[in-house]
Amino acid sequence: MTPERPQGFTGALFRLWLRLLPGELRERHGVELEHTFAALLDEARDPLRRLGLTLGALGDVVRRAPGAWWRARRDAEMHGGAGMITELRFATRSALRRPAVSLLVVLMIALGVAASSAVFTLVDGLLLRPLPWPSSERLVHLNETAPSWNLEFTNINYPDFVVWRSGARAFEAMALHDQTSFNVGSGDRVSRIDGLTITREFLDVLQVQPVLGRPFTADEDAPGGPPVVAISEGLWQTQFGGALDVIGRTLRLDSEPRTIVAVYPRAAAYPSAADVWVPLAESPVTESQSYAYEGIARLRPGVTLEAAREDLLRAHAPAWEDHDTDRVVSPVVLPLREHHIGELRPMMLALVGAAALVLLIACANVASVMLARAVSAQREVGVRAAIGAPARRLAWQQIAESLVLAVAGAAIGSVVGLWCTSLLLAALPREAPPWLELGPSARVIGFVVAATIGAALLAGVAPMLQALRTSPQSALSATAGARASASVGQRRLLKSAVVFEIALATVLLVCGGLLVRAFDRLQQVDPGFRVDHVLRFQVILPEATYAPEAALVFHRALLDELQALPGVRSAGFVTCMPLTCHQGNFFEAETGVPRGADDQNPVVLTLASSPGYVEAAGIRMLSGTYFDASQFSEPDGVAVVNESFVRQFWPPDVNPIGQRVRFSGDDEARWIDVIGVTQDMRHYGLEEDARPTIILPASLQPRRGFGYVLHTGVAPISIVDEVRSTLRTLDPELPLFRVETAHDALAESLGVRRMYSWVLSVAAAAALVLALGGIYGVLSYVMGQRTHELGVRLALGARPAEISRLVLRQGALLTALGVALGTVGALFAARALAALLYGVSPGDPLTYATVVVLLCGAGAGAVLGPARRAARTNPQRVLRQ
Amino acid sequence: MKRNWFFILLSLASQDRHGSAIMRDVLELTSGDLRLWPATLYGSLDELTSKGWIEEVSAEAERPEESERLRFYRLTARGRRELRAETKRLESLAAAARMRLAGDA
Repeated sequence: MTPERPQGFTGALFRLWLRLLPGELRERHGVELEHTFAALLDEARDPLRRLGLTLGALGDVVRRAPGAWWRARRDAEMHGGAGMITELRFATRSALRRPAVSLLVVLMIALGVAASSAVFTLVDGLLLRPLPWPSSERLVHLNETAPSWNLEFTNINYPDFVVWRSGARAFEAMALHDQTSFNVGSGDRVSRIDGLTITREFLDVLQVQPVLGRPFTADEDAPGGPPVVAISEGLWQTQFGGALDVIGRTLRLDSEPRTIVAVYPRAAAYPSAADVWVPLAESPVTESQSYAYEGIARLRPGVTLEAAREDLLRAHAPAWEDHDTDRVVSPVVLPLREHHIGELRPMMLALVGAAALVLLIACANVASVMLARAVSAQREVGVRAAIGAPARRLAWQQIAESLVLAVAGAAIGSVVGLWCTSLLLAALPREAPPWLELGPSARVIGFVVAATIGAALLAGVAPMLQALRTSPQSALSATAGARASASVGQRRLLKSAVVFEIALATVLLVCGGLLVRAFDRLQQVDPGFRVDHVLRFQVILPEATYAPEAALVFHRALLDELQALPGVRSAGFVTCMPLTCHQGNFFEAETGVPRGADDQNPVVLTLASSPGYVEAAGIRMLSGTYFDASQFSEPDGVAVVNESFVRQFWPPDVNPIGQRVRFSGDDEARWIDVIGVTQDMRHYGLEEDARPTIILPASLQPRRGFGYVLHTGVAPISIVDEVRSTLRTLDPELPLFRVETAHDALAESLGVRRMYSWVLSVAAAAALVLALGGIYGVLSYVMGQRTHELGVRLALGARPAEISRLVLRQGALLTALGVALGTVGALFAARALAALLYGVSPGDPLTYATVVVLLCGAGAGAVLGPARRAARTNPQRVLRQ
Repeated sequence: MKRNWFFILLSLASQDRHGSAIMRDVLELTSGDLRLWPATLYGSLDELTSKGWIEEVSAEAERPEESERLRFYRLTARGRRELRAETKRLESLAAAARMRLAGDA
């Protein structure tokens, strides 16, 4: 009687299922297992019960499978078979036997993994990792847009927000916030700390709980409300020693005492780092044209972005009726992440592309090295096949060997990658926002593992196929003493790997070259203000102790003192220094061309400054004069405008000097005489176009805070101490802050671009080195294989020069093919980069020509070695072999 | 000693059996508590064989009516010693437990 086997579907299923177990176990017990399973099913007739037993048996197989595999491997190893550990040990030994090649492969994989893991860490932090708030996918950024003012984002008008708050239904909560900073005095050291101005719903939107205390109340978030403040955990520890009774104590901000009502966690520091939070406390009834705040809101569960937009637009209608009948300004809803990451997207794309290409080139390189190596090991493989090693095992050995190399490479690569990530972060111009988490996550680790396995497979698959194809006869019957040589197909494979590498390197070099060109062009742009020998800083007076007029008196006194300092050539102050803030207003010109209803009314950058400002800042006057001390105090006021302003407000034939302008929208506003025209300045950074700008005397717009610009005759930083002591003699409670040179400020504004241009150039250089290494290695190898043939040729009378030419021609052909393919690829890749190229054409001939010449030259250099070696072949020795 | 091992040894202590017979016997011995599913069963049988506590009975000699593909197992002398030692251990454990629980009754 043969053992009964289970019949029907369940039987077949179980038989199939047993494949989860190792072959040895199945061979030994397969029939018995099925028999036992049949006996098991016999126990019951009830179908449900039988189903339960079937599932139990299937589950059991799954549970036992890992252990069974482990045991099978161990047993096989004990009997001298292909145990996994033996295999890996063998692979390691085999790798160590050729240290130079192995080291090369490990380094190439390390390079690829380092580049890609560094970039992936950035991508993960910026795009994939959830933001650190509960259900953060429901958080949105709120703003307002005014296309006809030529402004993508105007920021939010408080009365509009009040209308939204009462009318919108798609949102759980919405809040406004604004960055600010305060003078905080402790002892004789005064410092400036960063803070946030928020409306009372702020914590509800983020769903963040205070560490101590409570959110602001509606009472506190209203004009004339009690002066309160919430402090950060950091400030709580440093200033108050973490005392639990900190609630109710007093903190003086800008000399004004405020009661501490809460301690907020780090998660409340959005959008920027903050040590204090104060209520916004604006009046909803102010007839305010000020667009000053950014908004954040939480959507109700299940509400789509589209629905939220419609809802907010509907809720906005009363605001249009009330103060914007032309419907110039309308609300904007953006996913929070898009708001922050949006402008970084082209850069991310460029980095990801570059890293992927470097990884690919590294893999292609490794594959060709491994293939060449597998071909030279053909004889060994043949011998092993001849004495009975199964082909499958020989193939697995190739994979195991590249796996060992890939793991070693990835280990080095991920350490270097981590270090690169911190380098990238340090290269960012500003400190990364506190809510952005960057670092190794499960996803990053998964990515590195996947990249490693991918690299191992890419690198191992060619040699593996090679091993599978090896027949013992052909490998062993190669002529006496012969070295195995690559077949035509293998050589073709090697060569196409080289062409592929050169093509990818071309793409990277072109992209890197274009970005460097763009960066270079950008640096040639005249900023319109002086960059060398300029010291800048800010001085802001507290509201509590200075009335606006007193503040102006103070600032003028300070300016006089500063101008008298040795080493200072000229000095001035202004509301917004170049590359810092923006203050926009609308203007009309008395004799200007009247604008139609649909015409764009440009937002004018409105600056208020001291006498001497344009001289200190190095802004050139094109015509007319800048106001002097006497005009500064003239009650009717004078104004200086820039070229763009002139273009936008008057026809070309009108001389702007002597014309009059005024703030628009108010028929009572005073007319102001234009007395001078300056050149345009790149107030918003070199990449942004200049806006129409007007500079008014600060006496027309008294402020408490100004930015100071000092043109120095000595190194700017060297006079900081004198500036600080000058300030202290006037008011010891005032801090000097944001001290920097104009040079640093400009460099900082270019930081992101500098970073990615640099990264891409490094990637391109790495690609070039890899590709040259590839062509050198492959040609050396191919020529080494042909030594015999070359010897015969030389013996028959070929001249060495002809032999070198043969090699050079082959190298040139491969390089040319790669460069040609790469150029086509680069044309596509560069188009994707267009957003970053700042006017450099994606087909910029100079860049392409440079790259082609560079690659061909370098390619020829790489081929020279193999060519010379081939020419030096000694025919006698070759023929004797 | 693993629970599976103990019951397999126990089952083989009375007579030689093949796999599904052991499964059925253990199920009865434990009143349905311990089900030795197929893969577990044969895994344990292999383990016990390699420890030398049980051995295969050459099928033709002992049970000519069954196919040689169904292996019968029998307890070795060593296996019997191990089973005895484990039984002792369980007895003393049971005794200790009874002592401690005596007050509860």
